[in-house]
Amino acid sequence: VSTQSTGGVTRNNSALYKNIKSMKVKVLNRDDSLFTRSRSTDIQKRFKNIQPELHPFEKAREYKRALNSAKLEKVFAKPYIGDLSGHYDGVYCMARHHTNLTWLLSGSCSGEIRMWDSSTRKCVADWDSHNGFVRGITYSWSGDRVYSCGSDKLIHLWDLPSSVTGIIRSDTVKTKLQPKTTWMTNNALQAIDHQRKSSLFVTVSANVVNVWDPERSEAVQTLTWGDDTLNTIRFNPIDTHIIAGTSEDRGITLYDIRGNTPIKKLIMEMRSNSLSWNPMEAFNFTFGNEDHNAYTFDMRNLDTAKLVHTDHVSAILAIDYSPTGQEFVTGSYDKTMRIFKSDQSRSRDLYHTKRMQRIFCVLYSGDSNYIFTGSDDTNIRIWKTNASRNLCNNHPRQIEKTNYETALLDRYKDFPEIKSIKRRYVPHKIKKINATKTIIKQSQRRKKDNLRRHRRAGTVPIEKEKEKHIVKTVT
Amino acid sequence: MGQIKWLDTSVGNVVATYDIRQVPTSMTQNPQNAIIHVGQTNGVCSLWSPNKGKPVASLLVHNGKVNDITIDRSGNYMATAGLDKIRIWDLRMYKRVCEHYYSVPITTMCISDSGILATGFKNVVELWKGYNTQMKKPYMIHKEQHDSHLTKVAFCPYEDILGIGHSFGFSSIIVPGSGEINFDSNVATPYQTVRQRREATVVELLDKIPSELISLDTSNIIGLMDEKEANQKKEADEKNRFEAANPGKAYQPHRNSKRGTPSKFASTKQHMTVNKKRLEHEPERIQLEKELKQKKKKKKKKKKKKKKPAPKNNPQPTRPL
Repeated sequence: VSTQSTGGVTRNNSALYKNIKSMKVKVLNRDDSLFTRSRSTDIQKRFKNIQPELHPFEKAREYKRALNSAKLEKVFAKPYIGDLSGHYDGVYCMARHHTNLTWLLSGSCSGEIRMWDSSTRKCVADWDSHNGFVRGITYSWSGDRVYSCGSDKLIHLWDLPSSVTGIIRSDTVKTKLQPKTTWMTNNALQAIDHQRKSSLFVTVSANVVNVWDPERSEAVQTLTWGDDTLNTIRFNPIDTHIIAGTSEDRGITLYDIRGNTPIKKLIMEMRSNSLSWNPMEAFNFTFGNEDHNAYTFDMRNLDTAKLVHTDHVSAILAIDYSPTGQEFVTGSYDKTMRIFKSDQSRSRDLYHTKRMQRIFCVLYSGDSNYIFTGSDDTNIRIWKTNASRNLCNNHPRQIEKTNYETALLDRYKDFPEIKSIKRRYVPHKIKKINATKTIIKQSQRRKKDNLRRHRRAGTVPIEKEKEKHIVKTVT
Repeated sequence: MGQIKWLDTSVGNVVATYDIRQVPTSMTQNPQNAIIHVGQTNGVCSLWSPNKGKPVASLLVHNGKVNDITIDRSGNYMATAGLDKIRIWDLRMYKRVCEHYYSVPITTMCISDSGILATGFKNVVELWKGYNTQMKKPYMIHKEQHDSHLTKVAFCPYEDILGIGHSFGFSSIIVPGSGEINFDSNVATPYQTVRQRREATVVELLDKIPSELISLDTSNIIGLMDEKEANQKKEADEKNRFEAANPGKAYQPHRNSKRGTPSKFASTKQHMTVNKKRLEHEPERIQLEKELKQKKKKKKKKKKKKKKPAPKNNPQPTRPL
């Protein structure tokens, strides 16, 4: 802030001011050092005056800025970063390390497990592990071991290869690793997951859920409900005694380790393929279904879905929550991957490539900035979560600007011009299938409405979308 | 006859050109809504926007020609100089606030950031603090060389300095308290570097608002509506109305010969809604219109029939008293 200081003013030239020789005048005087930077390496100083007189056309300018940022978002939207290629067959499962941001494990349909360093995009270690598909793979909570299970009915425990732990990074080291421990099961294994903050891990084979301790040679607990095979299994990251699994009888079962019993079962209209717990909200989980939808449920109340996420055009094969719990990503059979916000039923964004085939597994990176997709075409692709955001270390002023722009877009998102800019280009096939789907939905709704109109009031109830797809819940 | 012309300085095209009926003698822009105030020889100050061929508003400010106009930074007050007075107007209410008498016509005027009015006549500059109220004495008087004539006075934006242009050249005087102390670096900086200036030109271009938004009231207008979409919606609405009123008939869209100007929408989320009451009474109204048309036709026929027997000098029926 500048100050007014005294200064001497002399007016000697005019005859009228003969008698007055000097006058003290208070004049606006700014100290340059307060307003300019002292070194060329400093940032320029900024000053604000919020008086509205100095800022005419405020609202119109704000709207223009919102328009510009919507357009620039499209200009800078380049989500694809690179790929991790090297597998010989489709990538079936992936796992991320819970402390090291760059380490990534992937298991393929050829029985091979690869460990990647995603920052250099190089394969750090790869070894043959199973005689069939590698169905599930996970790091131990201690971070130095790898568990893998496959369709050859074996569970292997591997120590991380020395090439990795020894901080010596070399290009694809084909190591001949021997599993530290092996467990055998009666049937082909479908999935594996590790409990947080302990050494227990759980596997699923046929209709049996087995909880294992690496010290023991037999399963610590065995849980069964029904005769149908289970497909996936997931530990709740916060309530670590709860497991959720999806099965072939179109159901999702919740088990409790402490009570050594299954708790509840939710049966849907179609089978669910993948499940993920919200890492921030312990009670919410989302699963991807064969009927192109993803459903978010609260485990305490399985009678209605919290949300139905529709946008996919084919069965959802993979789902993963962001570590922030605000978003999740789904990979589907229709060769696309969609990012949903946890509280919205429509997808925020859609990623696809001509070369990317059916997506088997998706994974968020530990800092929730990147998404890994493993697909049928033997590649793992790395994508940005926010397609247009600059991910390098930004200046605080740059961060302020991006925050301002997101706030602007949020405020003006319903205006027609901005809506039309934000409308996303969808691949042709998906657009067509969506069109037929909407026709089908509309005709079904019309028929229901007609039925309701011509029957006695109350005989044809209005079905809620969130409850429509649930067949029943069993305890 | 005069002419007012708007040129786009970033693109270089002429935005609009309109004829002014009277000869313009002075011009200034209102910084708050970008409207041009033009003072004319008939004492009228007319307000122009590039979107309208006629003045948006006009005020009768003086009896004679308007020598100079100046507007306050906040866009609330306007000072106009006539042959013998200065008048200060409230621009929101279009009412006169006060007036000051001069024996000589004022040639130039300027209002500073902090609200000091500078008036120039002959070789004298008078500075008034608080011009809104009836004042007795000016804050300062400055006299230039005896035989010089002042042509223009202008305040330096963020400094306490007044620049005076006169017949012998340029001089500047210090006017304490006339400058804005706190500047906003996004708007204007006295300490702008070359890089900042370059950035500022780019930012200005990006934030440029279309000229169609220039109007008297800028409080809620933020953008232009897509004309095509709006027209399509309108047509669809009319079609629905027609089909609701006349089932079975084909709808024929009414085509306007005039081109519509781009319409503006407000910052609140109100969309154009069809008046529901109007819709309810639509079929009745259409019936009434039909009946009126038929009546008109009948009248025309009657008139034609009447014309023929008129020259027979038949006695016309008279009104009963």
